Amino acid sequence: MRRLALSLLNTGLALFLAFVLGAIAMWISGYDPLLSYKSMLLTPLSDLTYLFSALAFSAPILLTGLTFAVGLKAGLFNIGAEGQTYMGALGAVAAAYLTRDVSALPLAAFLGVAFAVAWSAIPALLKIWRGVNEVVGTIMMNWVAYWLVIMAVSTIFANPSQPEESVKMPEAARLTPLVAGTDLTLAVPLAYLTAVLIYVFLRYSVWGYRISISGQNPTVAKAYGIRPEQAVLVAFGIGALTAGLAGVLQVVARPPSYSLARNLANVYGLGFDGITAAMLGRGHPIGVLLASVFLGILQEGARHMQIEVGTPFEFIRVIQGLLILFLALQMLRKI
Amino acid sequence: MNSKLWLAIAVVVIIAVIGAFLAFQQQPPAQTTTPKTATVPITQTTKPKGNIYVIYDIGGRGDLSFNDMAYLGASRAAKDFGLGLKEVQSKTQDDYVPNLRAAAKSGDAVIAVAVGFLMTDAVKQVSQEFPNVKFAIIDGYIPDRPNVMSVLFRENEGSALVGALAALTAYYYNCTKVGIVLGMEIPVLWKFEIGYAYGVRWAERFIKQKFGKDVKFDILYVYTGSFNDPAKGKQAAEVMLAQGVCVIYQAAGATGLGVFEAVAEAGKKAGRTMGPPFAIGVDADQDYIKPGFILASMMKRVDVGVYTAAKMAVEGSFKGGVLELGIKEGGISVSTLDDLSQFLEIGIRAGAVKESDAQNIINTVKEMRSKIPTWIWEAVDKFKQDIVSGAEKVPLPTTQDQVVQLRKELGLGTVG
Repeated sequence: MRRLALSLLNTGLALFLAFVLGAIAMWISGYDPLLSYKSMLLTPLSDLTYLFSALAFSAPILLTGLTFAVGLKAGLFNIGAEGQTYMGALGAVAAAYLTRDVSALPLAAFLGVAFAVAWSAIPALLKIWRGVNEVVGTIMMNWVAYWLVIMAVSTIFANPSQPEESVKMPEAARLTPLVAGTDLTLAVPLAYLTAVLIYVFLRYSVWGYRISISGQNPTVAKAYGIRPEQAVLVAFGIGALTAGLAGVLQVVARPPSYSLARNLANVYGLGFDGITAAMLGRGHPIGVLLASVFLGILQEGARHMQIEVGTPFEFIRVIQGLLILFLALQMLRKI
Repeated sequence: MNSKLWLAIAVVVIIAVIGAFLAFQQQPPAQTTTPKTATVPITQTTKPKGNIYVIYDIGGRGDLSFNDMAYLGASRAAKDFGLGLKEVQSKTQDDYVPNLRAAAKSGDAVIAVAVGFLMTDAVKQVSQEFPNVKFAIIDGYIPDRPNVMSVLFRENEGSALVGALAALTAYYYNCTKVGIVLGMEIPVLWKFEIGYAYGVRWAERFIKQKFGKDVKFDILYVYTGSFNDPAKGKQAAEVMLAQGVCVIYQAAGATGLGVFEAVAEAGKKAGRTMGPPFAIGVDADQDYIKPGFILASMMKRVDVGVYTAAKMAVEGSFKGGVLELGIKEGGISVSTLDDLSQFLEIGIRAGAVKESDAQNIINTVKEMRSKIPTWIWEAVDKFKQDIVSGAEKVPLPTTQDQVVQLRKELGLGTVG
């Protein structure tokens, strides 16, 4: 209980400092910080359409955040969610290319997740066999994925009638909004459910236990007869599963395009937003859920801040950057 | 908590405050003050009847071209019609729909302008959800909605003008090869390619008439396949220059910046401070990028497009469908010295051009233009009049077959 209170306090402190500094930055640039914060944080909650939009933004961030959170549990600094999300989206596009009916949906889920898991297997195996640091491995794989997916989307999977994007999901295979006129699709409950499942898995399953023990102390884990390498592999695999799902959902469940942009604009940066969510949520799946909802509200709020007060959306980035800085500072202290 | 942590936090806070302060001090005032001057006084002092919403795609403001011109048009319209101006940038592609929706839901939108064809799908969807809100999309093609106006430009006309300018200038410098470097081969770019070739052939007829000489120009074209790769553009231009091309038109976005680079380098290598060889700019007035080596620019007046759409919405003449802007409507033009000053101003405000260089640039461009004989400028002007009056019809290809046919007719050749 004391630990929970302390981590809440720490997170609250980081949030507070980030918002105070953000306000100072706004004030220096000549924008009203109070009005800006009001439209940033309250307007999204004032209207169902805006709230659903915020939730829609939170879903992919949550899924990539879980990748990082599960990695942390196993003592990994797994920042490969970015590239694995690209691969997930590529799998969905490949499915749309292969079949033109409702069967594209399960195929997209399967291919997307398979691509992402395969992609994470490389840094995972490199780490286990050769001791390659997972940060280096995953960063490299992120960039390889970036250019590979751009190449695939610009050539084989290009949409002849809309050159700026890939082939679209067949209409029957799309997850359309649950409430018409909003962005709330099945992606949102699906992502939240995933977070709960991951929580149960980490908390109550044998493998979850093995992962946490290996993460906390590999030597002790070995003494208990747990093989930390296997725990690393499983943690990487589960992380890839959620990151791949994020990529798939960005293609099959995001109106209006239901495709992958040629410049990857609808998946780019999700992996890194996920790291923010995971840090803000202290690596706890439910914490990550709450954090991603918060980040979704920020993203939705950025729009209303521009419209209502005229404050540029870049200030959201300033605040997020400061937030990461303060959270990282607290993490560093622990290590 | 231990004291070290507090110390560390304190240090970070101090550094961040100072850093933020310095950063915002150095930032050009325009970036931070333009939205303010545009929205605050108008929205608060005069109680506007409504707002013009401008929604940018992920590129957004600060490109010194397309998006900044859209802002220019919108702010002029807001001033002229006593409206407020609300700008909304998009952080990701997923922001397009919510941005448009927020503008539509606001209830005070006289018109919501989506800047850029990337928002086509989003405008299609949101215009259906809000049938009573007026939308306009620049460069996007949505012909069948009663509340969406698709603003398109006849780039083929402007390309024809610069084609004539290129050929006549080449003729003046005893050169018979002109070229065009393009981006991805998408239907829009055919307009540039074919229009340019048509202008070159017009120049041949003009020379025959005026000087009685039979000149045949080689027109080389190349699609680089990208809009954001200056290195590729430079390479393409270098190949052309090596083959003796002396004027190159670029229609390749940022890839075209490499064309300017190659042309300026070749000129400097030959010991010249001004062309030949020359390049021709596109979309915005790009004459200042390599002053002396850029003959002129084919301007696509996005500002006129936005202004016209807003005006029609205010005056009640707004209707769904396609609004095509060409030379006649002022939507397309060849850059002048006045345009140059205006764009230099934008460049200075955005910090891309130093204020101290501005006068130098203007002088250089002026000198370069004065070296081109007046009969050339007059000829181009006559060609322009003929297009406006309808005496000259610049072909407008829309299908692959038409392009292949026109390429044959106009004698376009690939590089190499």
